[in-house]
Amino acid sequence: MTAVVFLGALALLTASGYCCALPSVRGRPVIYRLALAHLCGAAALALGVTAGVVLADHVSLRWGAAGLAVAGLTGVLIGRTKTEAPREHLPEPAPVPLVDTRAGIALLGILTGAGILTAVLRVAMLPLDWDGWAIWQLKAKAMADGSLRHLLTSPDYGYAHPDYPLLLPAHTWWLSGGGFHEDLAQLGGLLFFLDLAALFYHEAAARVSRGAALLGCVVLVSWPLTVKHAASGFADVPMAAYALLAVAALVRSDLRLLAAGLTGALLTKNEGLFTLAAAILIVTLITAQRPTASARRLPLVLAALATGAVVAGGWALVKARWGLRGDLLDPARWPPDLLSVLPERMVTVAAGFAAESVRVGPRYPGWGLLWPFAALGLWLSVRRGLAETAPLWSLVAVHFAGAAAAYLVTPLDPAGHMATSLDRLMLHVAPAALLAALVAVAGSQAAGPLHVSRDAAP
Amino acid sequence: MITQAEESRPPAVSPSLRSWCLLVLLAGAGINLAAGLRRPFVEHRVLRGDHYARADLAAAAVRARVPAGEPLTVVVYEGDRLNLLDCDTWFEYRIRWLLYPRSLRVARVPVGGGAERLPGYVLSFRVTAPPTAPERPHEVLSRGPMFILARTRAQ
Repeated sequence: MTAVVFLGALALLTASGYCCALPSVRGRPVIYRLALAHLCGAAALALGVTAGVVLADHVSLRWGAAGLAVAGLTGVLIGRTKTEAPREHLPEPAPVPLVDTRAGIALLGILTGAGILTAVLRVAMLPLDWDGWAIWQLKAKAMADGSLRHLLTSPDYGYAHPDYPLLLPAHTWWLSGGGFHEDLAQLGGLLFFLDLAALFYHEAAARVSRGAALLGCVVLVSWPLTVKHAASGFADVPMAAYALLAVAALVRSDLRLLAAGLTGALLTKNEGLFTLAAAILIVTLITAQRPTASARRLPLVLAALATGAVVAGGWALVKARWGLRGDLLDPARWPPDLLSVLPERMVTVAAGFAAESVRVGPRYPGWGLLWPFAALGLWLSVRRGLAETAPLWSLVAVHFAGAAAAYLVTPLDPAGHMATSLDRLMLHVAPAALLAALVAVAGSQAAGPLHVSRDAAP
Repeated sequence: MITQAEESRPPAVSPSLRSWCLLVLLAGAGINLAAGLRRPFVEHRVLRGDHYARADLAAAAVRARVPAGEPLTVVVYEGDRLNLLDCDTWFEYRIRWLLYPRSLRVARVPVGGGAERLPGYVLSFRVTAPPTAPERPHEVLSRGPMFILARTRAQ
């Protein structure tokens, strides 16, 4: 019975997301379409639940269902007016010797499968991890129990970060048919993991050869951190997926996917604010680079700002109404002698980022050679003026700057705070960094400024 | 639109160097993948016998022996540390998760004194040493390697 409920709920959510993503998904591979549909559906669900709290002052699955219905209908109605097929106008990327061979592709496919199998094994064999049960899925349990407001406002549960947004708990709640099942919470996490892998592959394959894209996918699913958080009940893999979706949609000038990506990011974690800031920065960069096209970029600017205002504003209203406070965004909790400890903290934070970047593995977080590779990619991008990688680097830079700022003002010991969270904050943009570096090292090098995909309009 | 200058822009790295860069990146990923495939089995074995499994037992005992709505006090011990883990904090959060939405009172006590005099249903949990039973007249309802569930009687 639980499986039937799960499949039914997932089908509804995905169908709504699919309609919402029309026509962005037309003509694309099935796996990519499903990934987008799931991401858009989850964002619509969370928006509905949040709107319910704003408008009716209570958390209700009906509002989530209304969010799905409105998003799906809107997608269908607007989608009918835009049926233009994607245009292919960029040359095929050059194949990479050794990698783009039949044997190479087969091996990379097997390795990708091994990474996905690891995630599946974790879901099957391991329970939720600490923050998964103490923060994220505890809220899903409270939603199922009808006691979310009590949980968020009770001092007994102050450790559960009441100010965090509700996409992930709402997703579990929905997939559990209004109840709570720990296994389904983990299955939901696995879906976001698969979304991220599919999204990454699609975006990479639009920029580099098939073998290089698949190799990037292997790297992504090899990180212990990614596979761990596919099953842990944490919100970091969904956050990474939405951040990547937002920047990819922005570069394609795809307004609906931009709105979905930003909505998802803003309602998954507070770090979604960094994604929003990055989106605004990227639009500014695009406009500065091509002032003649600034009129055509206006809808992008408006979409980013409107999504930010509605979604972040809505959640801010909920926090204000229920008196939910975060420990980082509340200046009252910052260290009283902040200015005097700032230099010391800056050294600590810089050292923390540097140390994290060389943790190659295989122990957690096990980045492999990602960050040295990203440094190489960044150097190549700058040296060759690869504007097509600029949006991705901008996303990485804004997230890193935001995370660094948070560590500078944290009421906790910065070193200890970083030890428990920096790996996950870096995970939010690690796929974007990997993609940018792949483009710099293995891309066709022929795309126009900030114009990344073969299916983007000229 | 692709300009001629962009089309004629030479590749950033030579094809062979590009291959080597990617293969080195892949080698790092391969090591991670190999280690990652083994990890769920190792972690599963650890979790079956550590404090997580004991906490599950304690929660099951509460569900079985303490009527819903009855006040429950959870006793944890200051300084109950396992490597870097503050077990007292961990157990408070863990038992709140396991028993949600049951409300419970948490008493954090020094080892060897204090909360043993608490009335009603008392769940004592300690990871690094056996917990102590209440000093008041009591009835032990359930006992495990890291916990004692007792009901104290009026004095």
